[in-house]
Amino acid sequence: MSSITVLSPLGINRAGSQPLAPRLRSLDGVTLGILNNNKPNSLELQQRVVELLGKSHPVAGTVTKQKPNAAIGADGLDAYAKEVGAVITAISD
Amino acid sequence: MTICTEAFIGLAREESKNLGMPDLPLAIIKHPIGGESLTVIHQRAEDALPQVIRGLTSDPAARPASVASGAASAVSPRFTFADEDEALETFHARRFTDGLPFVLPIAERVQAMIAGSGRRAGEVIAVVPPRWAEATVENIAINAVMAGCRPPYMPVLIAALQAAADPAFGLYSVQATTHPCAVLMLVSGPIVQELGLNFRHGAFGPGFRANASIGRAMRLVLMNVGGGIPGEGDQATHGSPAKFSYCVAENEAATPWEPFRVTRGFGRGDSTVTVFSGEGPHNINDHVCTSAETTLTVVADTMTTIGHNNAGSVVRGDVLVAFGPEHAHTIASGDMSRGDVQKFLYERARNKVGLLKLRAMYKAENWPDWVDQNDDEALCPIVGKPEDIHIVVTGGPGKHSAFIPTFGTSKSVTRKIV
Repeated sequence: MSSITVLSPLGINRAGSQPLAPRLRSLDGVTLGILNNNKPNSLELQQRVVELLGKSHPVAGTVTKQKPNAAIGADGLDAYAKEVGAVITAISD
Repeated sequence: MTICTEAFIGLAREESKNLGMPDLPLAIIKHPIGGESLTVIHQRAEDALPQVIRGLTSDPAARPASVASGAASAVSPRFTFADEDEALETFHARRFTDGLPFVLPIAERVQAMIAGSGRRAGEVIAVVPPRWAEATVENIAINAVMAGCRPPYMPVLIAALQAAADPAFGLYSVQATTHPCAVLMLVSGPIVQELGLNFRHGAFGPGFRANASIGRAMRLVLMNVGGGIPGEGDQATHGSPAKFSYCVAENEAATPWEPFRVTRGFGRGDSTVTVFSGEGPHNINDHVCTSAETTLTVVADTMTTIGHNNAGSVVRGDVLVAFGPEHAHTIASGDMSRGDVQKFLYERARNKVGLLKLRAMYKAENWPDWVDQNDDEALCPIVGKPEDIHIVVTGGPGKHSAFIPTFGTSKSVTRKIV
């Protein structure tokens, strides 16, 4: 029986490598961002994380940005990134 | 950094990898979040806290390597196997299929399929999420071969994929959501007859190669190119039989109004495909009504349930009502235009605010301003305006129509088939 060659049905991702933002040396004095996707209980979760974090680290404050719903991307992220030192997002149901 | 529940690790890892950031820190907590008490949510936050601090302050290189899987960019474009059986079994094992038997994409078949498109093999038609991979004409042709398409079907498939890639459609979310929406393709125009697309008995069902294979090819592209693999890039709780194949055609001869494509701004001589983020069709049985108003009342009642995404939660999307020819005839006999039908259904297909409160007013911020959220007897529509209730006639004889709810945040998109 002869061999057979077939084509791959997969597509090619050309995103390349994107550098992560540098990690922070300390959270002290940092303005934290909450990027929220508007799913039920998601904001409560993120706010509680930041609240707990603030008990051990003197953060400068919090800037919350809410998407209208989880299904669409957030706009104005470049400007948002300038307002905060770190961003906490979440994904789930 | 990102907080993620255990059930969404696969999607989170895939997505960070596909966007070029495989080492994006994740804080992993128990699932779920929705429907849990504040006490539980606060416990989840405590569980996340040390991971969040570590993710924000630790060098990613110091963490264990990513467990990313299914690296699309590393796959060879050709595979050689000892024989057909090995090729078939390998494709199934690597999850390159929908689980059904398929046609092996050998070069000769793929070339014929590309020729059917009238385009260059390397032309990029869309970048398909959540893998964010390029769907070239060749990629599409390969999946069309696997699905059992004939080459003349390619222009429909390409136009449908272009439509699905329109930002208004929101393909990323349609692919990745826990909701059971599929990509419903509605074909309108002369090409319906030319390709032998079924629009009579069993319009949503099996038995017709053009409908079955075009719909299946779209699904294979969404899986193989887009990475919409169940449990990975596709997080659907149940999925849907509609995810195997979902391509229907307009029964233009039985349509008492202008053809569907004309309502979308195209000419009668054009052929179009419209994509909806549709759930499977919900039947509307009415064997007795003899007037437009009574028949449409039955239709509106079927549309008025609070569990689907359009009801009360996300009124920004659109929905589809597929009238059977007999219902359409009954309605049109009452001198109702398509616009009259849309207006009637918009005004009748509404849920009481008091009932929607069972869903904790979920997404109430998306409701029209004129809905009084403090009045339990106030009525909330399922879409934002009458024109968002799309109407088509399809199917054979019988006293049935169908309602197709959608993902909700998605808008249908139409493209001309060229």
